[in-house]
Amino acid sequence: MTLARINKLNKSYDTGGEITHVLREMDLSLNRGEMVMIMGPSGSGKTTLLNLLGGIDGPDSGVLQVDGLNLTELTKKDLNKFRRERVGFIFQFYNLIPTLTAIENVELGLENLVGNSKEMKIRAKKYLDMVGLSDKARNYPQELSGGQQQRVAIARALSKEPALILADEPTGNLDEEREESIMGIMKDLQHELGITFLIVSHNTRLKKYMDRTLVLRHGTLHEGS
Amino acid sequence: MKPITKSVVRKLFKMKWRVFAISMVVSLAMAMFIMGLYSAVIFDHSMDSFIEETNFPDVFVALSEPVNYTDVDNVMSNIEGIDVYSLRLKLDGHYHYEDDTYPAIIIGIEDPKREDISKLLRKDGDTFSGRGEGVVVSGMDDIGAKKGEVLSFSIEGKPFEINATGSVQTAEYMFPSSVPDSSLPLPGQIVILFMDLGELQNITGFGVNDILINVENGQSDQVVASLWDLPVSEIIFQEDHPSVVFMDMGAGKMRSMFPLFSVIFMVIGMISIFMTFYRIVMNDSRYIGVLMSLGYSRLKIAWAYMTFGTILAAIGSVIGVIFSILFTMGIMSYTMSMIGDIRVVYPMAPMPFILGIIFSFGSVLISVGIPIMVITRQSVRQALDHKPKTRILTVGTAFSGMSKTRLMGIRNTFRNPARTALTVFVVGMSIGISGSWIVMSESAWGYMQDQVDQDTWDLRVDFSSPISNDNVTSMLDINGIEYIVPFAYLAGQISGGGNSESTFIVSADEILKTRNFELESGKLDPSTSIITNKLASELGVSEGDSITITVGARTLETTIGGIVFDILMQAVYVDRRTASPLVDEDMASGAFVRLQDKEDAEKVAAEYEGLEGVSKVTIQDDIIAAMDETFGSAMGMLYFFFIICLIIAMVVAASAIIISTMERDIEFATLETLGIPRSKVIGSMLIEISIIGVFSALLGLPFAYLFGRLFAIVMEEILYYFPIVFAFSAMVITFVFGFLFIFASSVFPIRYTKKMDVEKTIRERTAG
Ligand SMILES: Nc1ncnc2c1ncn2[C@@H]1O[C@H](COP(=O)(O)OP(=O)(O)OP(=O)(O)O)[C@@H](O)[C@H]1O
Ligand SMILES: [Mg+2]
Repeated sequence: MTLARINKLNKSYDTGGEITHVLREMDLSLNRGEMVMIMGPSGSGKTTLLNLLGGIDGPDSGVLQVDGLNLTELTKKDLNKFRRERVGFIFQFYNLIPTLTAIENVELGLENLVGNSKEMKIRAKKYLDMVGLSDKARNYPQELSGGQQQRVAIARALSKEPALILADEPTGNLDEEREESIMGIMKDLQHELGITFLIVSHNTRLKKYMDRTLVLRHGTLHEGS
Repeated sequence: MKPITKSVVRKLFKMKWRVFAISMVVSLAMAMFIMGLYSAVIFDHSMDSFIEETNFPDVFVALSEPVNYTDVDNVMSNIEGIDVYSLRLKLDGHYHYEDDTYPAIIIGIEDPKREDISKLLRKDGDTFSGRGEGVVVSGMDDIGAKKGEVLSFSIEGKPFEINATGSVQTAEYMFPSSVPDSSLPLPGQIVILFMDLGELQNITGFGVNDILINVENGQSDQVVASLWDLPVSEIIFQEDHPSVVFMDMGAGKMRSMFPLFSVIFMVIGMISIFMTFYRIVMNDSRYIGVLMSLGYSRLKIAWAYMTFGTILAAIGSVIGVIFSILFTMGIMSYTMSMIGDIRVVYPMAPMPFILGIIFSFGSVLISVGIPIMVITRQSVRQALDHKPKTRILTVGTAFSGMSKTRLMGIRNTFRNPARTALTVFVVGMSIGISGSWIVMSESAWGYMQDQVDQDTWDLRVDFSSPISNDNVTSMLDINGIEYIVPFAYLAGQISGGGNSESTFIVSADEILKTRNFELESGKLDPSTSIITNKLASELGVSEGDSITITVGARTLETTIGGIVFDILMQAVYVDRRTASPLVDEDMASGAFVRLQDKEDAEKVAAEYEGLEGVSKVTIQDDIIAAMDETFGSAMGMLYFFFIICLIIAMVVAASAIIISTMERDIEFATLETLGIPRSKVIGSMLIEISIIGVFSALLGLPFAYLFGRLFAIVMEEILYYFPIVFAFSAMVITFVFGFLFIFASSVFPIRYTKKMDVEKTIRERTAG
């Protein structure tokens, strides 16, 4: 069963007359409950691909389907709804809201998704516990270390229990031990809830958790390393 | 361009709205500043050119009684030092129009085309040529005194008709609307007629009683000294003439009032420009650190930012000059139409503009320079490490159930308390200035209303010829009347303290019943005299001083028993016995009537108007309405300022809000990626703006009161006194409008987040 399907996808950037073709006639299909890693040289278009799948950027041409929705045909409002209900982002640079505490940052993602505020709180707490931050729930981002912030960002994405998680270097700031535990959590969620993971990383240690590893080069995806 | 300058200039272009907002603050502050200075120059200049153009006389001489033309002419032609002179016959009379009678000044002149002294500027139609013709001073069209009409006049009961061939303007009666009992140019109606001297002499049998003189350089004193052969009653030099005095007052008002406002705007402008630049530069601290680590000198870095400031100041100045011209034109046409229909002459006066531009460049460059200095004085490492200080106040932990976006809105407001406080302060001050106009207008209005309400009568009946007191009562007595107070109403001169003023004399035995006098000093004793404070201050007299009242050839010597507050009237109140040297004690020229039911005023008035011998019935409420109208138009100007100041407040608020939104673009982008509905994102911004709006508007209230008082002090110096009262309605208006305008500024950040490119914003952060 396919969750995401990309067909002949093109994406280029126009910077003052000079056109950079980032993705060329790209094909990709992600199965539901699959964990896939994308590697590739810097500037190859990995982040661009995540942005397209998450609906925060639009392609030039091609098919872009996620969870039965044709992203290219959705209105801004529907895209917003799509992101709220079906996608979780883990950014390379966390992007936490500085005026909200750790737990509030997680709750922020759950708003309009999980029924009442009590359930929201319980869910947020559960995921903060999972990433090992229950004692930092009331701290503001600036009171957390880089790795702790990254874990809050991960908890924020995971707690939504969306169909698809898009992660950009999710373990970039974590030590090996933490990396292992976070990947373990993700693996569990993959199996228990059938969440699909698309993970961008340069880190070859992560390969062992993956169902597939793809390499992005010259605008298209290739099997293997 | 050097790379560093390039980077700074590029930054500028990326800021579009912010640049616009900052430039607006600069330009509005500058425009108010220029407007103040330039209006005064224009005012002076327009008046001067009007006086010059019309050859305004150097000396005005009034004779106590008309004298044979040849006798005066003989005296005049033998006086040394006179350039030109003109002999006139100037009489008080009445103008009759549609059953109403209005005061008139009727002046006989030899040659209406004469240009070398007191030239009549043709406004409409032609000058008069033959007998039975005349011209009126323009502005009284609504009572029929205009070109092509046959006007009815009377002097001492002798009626005559004049064919108005046109209307004119003259510096002598620049404010034909001003009535002798008012210290303000109220549209009290008075008709000023110029007609042929010979004809007026024929009608009245008088010679001449009025001389206009233009002297040769500096000879005024000698000329005046030589006039002793004539029965001179009054000599007025040009600089003491009411027109000139009033014009000086007007120019003085502009000169002192507007620059005062502009100082306040300068302060607001400076603070908000400083706030803006301080934040821009501080946010660039890390980048400045990088430049320093690359070996750029302090001066070079400062220079790059100065370029940035200069561009902003330049844009602001261009807009500012346009605004100031628009504001000035608006205010001038308004003022000029209010004080007489004078042509506005815009002189080439670069000074106000130069000062304005210096102000805007100065304040922008200082605002840029200071933060640059602070940062470049740090070590490279400090600069690199510099984080814009954000101390997050943990407000809102109590409402943990609250929507997180709403919580964000609240916390954002207090994210940087010092900054919020400063924003609220500046915006509050701007709202305060706006509000001060309302406070002033409400206070002045309320005071005016109080003054008008002092009269207890509902109707005032004027008779066509005096009627004995007893007959007045029997004539006017109908059902539903509370009192009838017969009075004698006279127009005359009052002298005392070495000065002389026109005044009305109101004489009635129950005068205290007709008006709730409010004493300034002395006591309410109509057996001496009660005079209004305006009159007392013009004369420079106080309680107990002796005064002389002259009506025609009759005089009354008395002392001042009391001085009463009155915003408008120059009047003397005395009882009938005291006034008997002036007017027959038993005869009344009118009566004040109070009804049991005020609602009947119209009906009773109609009834009285039908009576024989009644010339005019005035309803108190109509006077109040007329006053409201006049005052309302003056207040229009205050409301104009109110709106301008609110716009400035809005711009100040908008520029602060746009900046804090732009600083947080990454947060808004994150909310997008989380799929937070737009309505919630907007809601979070609105909360923040509302909080700032409420606090600013609240702070605006004491400021409004404070500035109101400050402006009232200035007003008192130049115009008249009114107390600033704490008017609840003014506070409500200030608060509501202040809040709404600030709230409206939310369109800018909302627009900004709507147009924001989420993908790029997140990428930019990655780049940082
Ligand atoms: N908004 C943009 N405008 C112009 N070019 C862009 C834009 N965004 C990305 N690019 C270009 O697209 C290419 C792919 O960028 P992308 O961020 O997807 O790379 P990446 O594979 O994520 O690299 P890295 O591993 O370094 O994060 C780059 O060459 C970049 O210069
Ligand atoms: Mg990337």
